[in-house]
Amino acid sequence: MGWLDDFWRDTVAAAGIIVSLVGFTIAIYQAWRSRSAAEAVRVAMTQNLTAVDLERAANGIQEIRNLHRRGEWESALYRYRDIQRMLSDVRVRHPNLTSSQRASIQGTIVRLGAIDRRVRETSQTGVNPIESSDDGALLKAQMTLDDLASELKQQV
Amino acid sequence: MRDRKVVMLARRLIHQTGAGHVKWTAAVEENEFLVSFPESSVSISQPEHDRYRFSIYNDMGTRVYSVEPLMEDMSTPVLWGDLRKLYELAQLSALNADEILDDLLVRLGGVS
Repeated sequence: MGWLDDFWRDTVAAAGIIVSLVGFTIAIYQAWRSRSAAEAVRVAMTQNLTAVDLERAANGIQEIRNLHRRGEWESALYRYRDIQRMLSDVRVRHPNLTSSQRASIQGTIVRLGAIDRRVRETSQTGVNPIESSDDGALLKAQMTLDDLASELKQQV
Repeated sequence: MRDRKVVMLARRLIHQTGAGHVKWTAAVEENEFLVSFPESSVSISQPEHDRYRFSIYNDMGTRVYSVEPLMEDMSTPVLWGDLRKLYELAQLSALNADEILDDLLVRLGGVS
């Protein structure tokens, strides 16, 4: 009955190989799934951080508007450059932003620069340097950043 | 060399704006229009009648290049003409003129 022993031995060995292969496949699948999940969490966290940074910049613009209303021009002038730098950093630190989102941030940086220049030039004349159109432009910049932040949060 | 590049840039913007691939928006200054890319921006303005200013901004919003050719300057008539054309197109783009025209045509479609 030696041939029967050989048969069972081969069968058990073959079954062992099949079980190992199945187990190995399951392990690979689970590792892939957990990596995908970890990647999804990482992307969501990055999107959320970007949105928070943009909201901070939008709040900064609101602060500038408040300073303008109170006539605190000097303090406001410091804030313009801060927010421009903050927005420039957002683009560098968050490569997940789309080309269109980056262009929106770039447009906001240029607009803030233009208002900053105008306030600097006119504040030296002693005349009220901020016009209603400037506050409108600041409000528009603030809304652009808030909209971008909302868009990113919705993607999470 | 730089002037030639500016002419090239202005012409590409004319082409892309005309084709609707580039969208301009009103800038902070009156009669100024801005188009932004991920790391730079371009603006075209008309500070005075028959004068056009073409400016390029870096990623920090600093104006790094600006040109304001005069119509009577014989060395820059090509650029002046291109900037006039670009200004007209940028203004139409920023004011959504095409969308308004299309909407009007649809609304008045039944009238001949």
